[in-house]
Amino acid sequence: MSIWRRDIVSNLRLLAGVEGKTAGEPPIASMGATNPPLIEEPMFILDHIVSDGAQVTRPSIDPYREPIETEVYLFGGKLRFTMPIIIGGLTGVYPQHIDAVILAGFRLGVGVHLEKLLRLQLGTEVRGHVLLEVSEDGLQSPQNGPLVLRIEGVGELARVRRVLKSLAHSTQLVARIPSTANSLFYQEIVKSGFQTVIIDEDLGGVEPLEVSLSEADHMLKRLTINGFPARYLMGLIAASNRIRSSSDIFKLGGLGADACIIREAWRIGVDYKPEMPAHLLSERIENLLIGMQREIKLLMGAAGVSSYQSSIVGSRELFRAIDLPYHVCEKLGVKPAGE
Amino acid sequence: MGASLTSPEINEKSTPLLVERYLPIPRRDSGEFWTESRIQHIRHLATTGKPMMVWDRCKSETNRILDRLFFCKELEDASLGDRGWEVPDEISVSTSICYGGLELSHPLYLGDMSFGALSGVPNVAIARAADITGTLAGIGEGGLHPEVGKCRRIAVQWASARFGLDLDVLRKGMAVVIKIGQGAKPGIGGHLPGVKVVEIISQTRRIPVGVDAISPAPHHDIYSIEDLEQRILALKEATGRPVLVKVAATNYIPYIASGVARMGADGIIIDGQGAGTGAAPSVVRDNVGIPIELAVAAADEMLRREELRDGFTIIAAGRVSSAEDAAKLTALGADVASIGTAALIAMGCIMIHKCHLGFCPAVITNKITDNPKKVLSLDTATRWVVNLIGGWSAELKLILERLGLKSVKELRGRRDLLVGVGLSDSSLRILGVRGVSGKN
Repeated sequence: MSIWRRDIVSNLRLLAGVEGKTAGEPPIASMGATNPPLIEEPMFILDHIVSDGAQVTRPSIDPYREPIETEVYLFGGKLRFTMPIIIGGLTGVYPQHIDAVILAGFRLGVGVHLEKLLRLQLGTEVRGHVLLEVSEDGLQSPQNGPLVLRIEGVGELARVRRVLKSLAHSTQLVARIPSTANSLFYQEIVKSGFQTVIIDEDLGGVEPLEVSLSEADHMLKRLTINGFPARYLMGLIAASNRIRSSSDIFKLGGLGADACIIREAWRIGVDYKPEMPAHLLSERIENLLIGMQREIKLLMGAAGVSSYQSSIVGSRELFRAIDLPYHVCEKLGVKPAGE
Repeated sequence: MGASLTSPEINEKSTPLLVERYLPIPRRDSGEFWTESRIQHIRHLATTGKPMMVWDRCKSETNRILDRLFFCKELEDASLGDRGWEVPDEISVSTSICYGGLELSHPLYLGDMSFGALSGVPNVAIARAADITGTLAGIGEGGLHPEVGKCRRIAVQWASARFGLDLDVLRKGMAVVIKIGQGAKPGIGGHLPGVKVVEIISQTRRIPVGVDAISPAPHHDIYSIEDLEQRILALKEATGRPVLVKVAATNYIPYIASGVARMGADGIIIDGQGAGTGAAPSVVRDNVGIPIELAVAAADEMLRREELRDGFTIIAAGRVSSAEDAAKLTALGADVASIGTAALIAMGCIMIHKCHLGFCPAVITNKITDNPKKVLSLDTATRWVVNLIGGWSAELKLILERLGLKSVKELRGRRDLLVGVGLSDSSLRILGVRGVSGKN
């Protein structure tokens, strides 16, 4: 079975305006849900996780009438994204479209992750929103935006640390690593001077993204730097091709992700085709992002929460697991439903 | 000028076709809880009023936690093989119950579907069926349909938008329901798409025509459990009726149930994830809330521990599809089961999930128009719902008889009669039921 169930694809395309006439609006449905894990087959841990609806003992917030903030900050507040979504997976996207994607993201205050070394003519402000992947050599030239270094294993970190120490300039450093729950790896990353980690399931790894992310969040909260929990200084980003929807992003947020990189999801949502005009692509991306942001606001309002980064990120108490074995619940720090 | 624009055929009214038959059930290519065999079962009950089976055969088709819960007796019966057992000719089992001063002939509540979400005839059919069968029908949030108002066994809903409510309306029913949440969209207010807000709905709800009726997410005068107590007491004082509080099944359901009981309500309606709705944002419907079986078990456990269970009623709602579902929810701690979708299926719903668009082929949730091509027959729809309740109750009696119980009251909280097959350790603990590993 494909992870891209028809309802998931259709929802994304309604948001993007590929289908229907309500682009950017959260799709409305009727009669009972058929979502996993109880009706449709669950494929990931995320499919077992549900979010809270605030009632009686705590009021919910009306997302249509009251303000709800979805913005997230990275690098100790130096970088602000308007929503916990980063566009990635630009490998395979035609060169003439990359600018359109970056600019669409920039207009909405959404970050873009560029995995490939590309020679781009980006304005300073736009560059600030792009997480640009570089090789170790590429670190040497000063940059006015975040730099991403791919690190496959803890063994590479001793060398990386030497390179970073030799840098003549200060820059915003991001480590992109496979999905691992190895706490030593995270400790070494903190010590090396990185300020954000991308846990990228598409780079491989032994643990599911949910488990790695949650353990990293827990571990970084316990680890202290100059008396502060390392998590205060360290951004956590989750990345995977299988992040399918705003609800996946929201649940990963609950497990500790400040933001998520979406890849396949946006390409499916905008019905990406190499021959599509750039203006259509940017329009659909903007619709999709605004729509996903509104969906996140609906989930936040239902849970009675008005600020994403301070009240959703790592806030496991707002979530419950349906029919997931205890040992998995414990790893995630999420209680079983009914408890 | 205005007159010249009116084309003559607008005023010409043709007699609408009266719908008295079921539509064919469409083939599905994606997951669905209300499978063809579940719809067939409900149609059998609704057309004959007679039982079709004792143990629910449809549960093997889906994977709810409730579907993986079995009465031990069923597994014993299965081991009898072909020899089977005989259905006795006469069963002396009582299904009547009493709560908050209300007598119900059957432990069924016909769940809270509003006028507006449904197109009028179904609302009246449900309310009349409740009168005929001695059950109770919740009217939902949309104010009182004049014909529904003539029925006695209704529960008037007091929801966040207060559509069409005044003291007179509140006193019309046998009970008042304070609606805090619903299973399909916990934490979100009611939603009637503008396309369905026509003149009559506008009058009943006292809202403008054609505009989405989106109820506030919270009650703006209930921001705490103390606020809730004031409203419960005020509504009791004003109406003299028992007050039920309807909530969605969410993370803190045991604490919410305990708070609701402590604040003086007569009962709680807990609506589980997956319950029906006329319109909800799919992101909320699919990702917020927990299943009813876990919520009922957890709430019942907490209420017992706090010694609040006696005299307090738990009504379980959300994907209640058969007498066996209701019986299992009762064994987990509920007093009454609520049926909403099942009642719609009895009236001809074929589960195409298009209620929000206003083009229901079964004319149950369609937009109300002045000149409809077809309308649901009120007499037939009422008979279908009455029969459903009769057949359902007969199946419930068969189950109680197999379990060796004399009344439905004896079943409440009998978790020892259940066994979980292939459920996770965490689910079994919440349910308070022993488990065996999955069947191969």
